[in-house]
Amino acid sequence: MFESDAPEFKGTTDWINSKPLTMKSLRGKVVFLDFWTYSCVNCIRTIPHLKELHDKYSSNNLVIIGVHTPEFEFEKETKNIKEAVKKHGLKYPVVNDPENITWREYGNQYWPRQTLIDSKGMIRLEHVGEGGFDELAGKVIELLEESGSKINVITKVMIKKENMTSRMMTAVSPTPETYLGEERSPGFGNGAVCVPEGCDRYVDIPTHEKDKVYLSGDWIQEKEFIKHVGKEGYVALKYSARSVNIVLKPLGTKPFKVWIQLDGKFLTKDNAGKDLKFEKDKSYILVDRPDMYNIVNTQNFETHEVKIVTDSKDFSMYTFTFG
Amino acid sequence: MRKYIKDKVDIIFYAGGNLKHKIIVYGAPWCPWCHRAKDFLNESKIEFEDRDVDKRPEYAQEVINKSGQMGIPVIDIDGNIIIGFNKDAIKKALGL
Repeated sequence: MFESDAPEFKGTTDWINSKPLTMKSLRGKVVFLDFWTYSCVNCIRTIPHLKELHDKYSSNNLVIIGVHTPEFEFEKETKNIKEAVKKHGLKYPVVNDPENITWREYGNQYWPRQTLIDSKGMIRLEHVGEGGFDELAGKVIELLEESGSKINVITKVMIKKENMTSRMMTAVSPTPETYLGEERSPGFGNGAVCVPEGCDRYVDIPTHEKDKVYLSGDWIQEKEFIKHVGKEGYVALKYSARSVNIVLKPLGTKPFKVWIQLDGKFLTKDNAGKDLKFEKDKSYILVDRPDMYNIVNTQNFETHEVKIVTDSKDFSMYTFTFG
Repeated sequence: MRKYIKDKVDIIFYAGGNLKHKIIVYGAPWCPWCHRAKDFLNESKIEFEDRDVDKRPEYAQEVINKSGQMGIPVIDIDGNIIIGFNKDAIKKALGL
């Protein structure tokens, strides 16, 4: 990658945790831009590394800026981003880039993407996706030292080695991110039918293929999401992974429950995702905000069928992501 | 000299050569998914029998008997029953 002048922030609106900053005003500091969006699982998994760097080096001239560029419409709203910043305990500045203008200025196409800018305002490293954080942290230290900062040797050593064996090699292919909206959906395993009441009905079929979404009940497919328009319905998917996340948005103002099942049974404390709650022995999530919800966490990489059951007409779902 | 015994010659049929599928589409003129299913078959130049459930009540009964539900379209491909318009399932049943 050639060194080049870091473009100025453009098209950005609100700043969180900071007064508005400019690239020019940041000369003399090492700037770490993290392009992210708050319902993206890969971006969320990057956050602990960013927090660690912020805690260690913000006093040493490092400025981390989370440039929030949306993937879905609801991620454009500052209010939602503020809630996510609070939820994840981010202390570094975050700026809303709702129309992806700064993102385009940096020629970006991915979430997450990190750009490291030296104290002279030159881009020195670009990094796409999760992982490779040891290399990034190493470059941060190098640029800080180059800028004249004295880095404590002990903190240098403390940078955690990434666990390279965390994703097990397996004969079964992991299920990829699966979008449900018309724009990027690979299609459903079952088709819609017309009944006298309308043409939004999906009738589930007995045999399900892996990595295919099956619907039951009345659903409408919009550009970015599917919405539930019937009395009771579900979304089912047979997947291979350790954890399952879903991106949901309540269409009304009232929170509602969505029941989660694995292989036809409610989950237990052993395989429940972080956002799961229990009513007696029934596992559910409370949908009270547009966000990514972690619904399943198994100890190993496993194949299961997850079912998301709803009786709410405020239910809309964007995607499944896996870990 | 080899003796040619006609009666003992095996005849092999190759699937996909000129194999005809028996396809029935149960639908109705007011049903958009039925139109999409029929358009897909027509575009793929695949012949099918069109059974309008509004015109003949026995066809509506066949839908229930074959698929266990009342929604249309229902597509019967050589006895494989496909509920709703599902391009992938049609292709799979036809071996496309």
